[in-house]
Amino acid sequence: MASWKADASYHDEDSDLVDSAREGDCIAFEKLYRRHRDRIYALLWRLSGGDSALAEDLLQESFVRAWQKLGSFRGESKFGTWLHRLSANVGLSDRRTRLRRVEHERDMTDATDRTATGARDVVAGKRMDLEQAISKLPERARTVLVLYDIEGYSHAEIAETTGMAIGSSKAQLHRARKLIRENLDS
Amino acid sequence: MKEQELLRQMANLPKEIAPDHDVWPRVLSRIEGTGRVAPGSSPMRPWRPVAIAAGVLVAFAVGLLLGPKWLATPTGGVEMPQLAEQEQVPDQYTPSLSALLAATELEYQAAFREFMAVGDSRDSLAPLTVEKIMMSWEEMKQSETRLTDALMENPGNDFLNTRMMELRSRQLQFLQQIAALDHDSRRISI
Repeated sequence: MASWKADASYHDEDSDLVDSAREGDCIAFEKLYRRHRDRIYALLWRLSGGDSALAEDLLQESFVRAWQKLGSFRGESKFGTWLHRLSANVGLSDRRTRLRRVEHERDMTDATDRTATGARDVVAGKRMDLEQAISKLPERARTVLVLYDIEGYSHAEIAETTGMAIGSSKAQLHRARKLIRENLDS
Repeated sequence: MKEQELLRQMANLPKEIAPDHDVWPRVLSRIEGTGRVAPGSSPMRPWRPVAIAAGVLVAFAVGLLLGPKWLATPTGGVEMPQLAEQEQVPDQYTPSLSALLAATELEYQAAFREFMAVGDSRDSLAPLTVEKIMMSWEEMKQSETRLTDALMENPGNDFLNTRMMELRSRQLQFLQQIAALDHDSRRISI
């Protein structure tokens, strides 16, 4: 499972593009966008409970904020790691995401049809059952499960990102897994 | 299902999902022009007329939601602000920006007339609806504060001015949506 901990002074395939983008090069930034878009979208789509339109709005906001904050990116972690963290914060702090916690309204038709590539296949059936079960989780439980089990955050990193205690993160993860198993078994 | 099986399935979930729409054009439209303000450029503020107009509307909306029923004149009518004469669009504005300002001003006038017919809707709204409205409003107020602060430092920044225009437009839409929440059929057509 991947770790999102910052490593010292990364230089990777993104570094030159980041340097150019930092100096105002939109073409370089677009390349970074193309490179990371789908991964960030997957995160935001799940955090937003399978709401494609909301996830696209959050995707846009994430990259705009990344552009604005590029100056503060010092290369202490991979750009992808930094961008992922920034996007998670955007997704979790968005008002509409919070509203969904209250309303619990979801259009699962959209979630049911979606796979990684947009295609529909037999294997995707099981996957979609799981995606549906995840999207039906209570918001905090879903957030922890997505960040821990799918995105590889540690409980400490989840606590830092969401503001909840580490113990709460562990409890929410236990609850989320239990609810999913019950959902899939029923 | 055992937990190990669940973990195995989750590990196989796709880490990447392609969005239905490419949002890059929207991203680009928001980032273009940032940090490219020529030294000595005139500190134009295209959002200012709209800001004043929206400010009046905002006070009206807050009155609707939180406080006294109307911003009314002693005779019971509603004063229409005379913004058009007070805040002319300067000549140096680009044609597209001027058109945008004019359109926004028209939108504002329409929204204001809509409010005249709404009255105090707060009591007729569900608590959750009021909560949502207040959350929306709070978010826009925070954006407004940050943008205003940024514009104080960089008044000629095209990106910031555009963002302020977008925010004002959102505020107008917001107010129009509140007007549409009238439950007492006092709404008029505009």
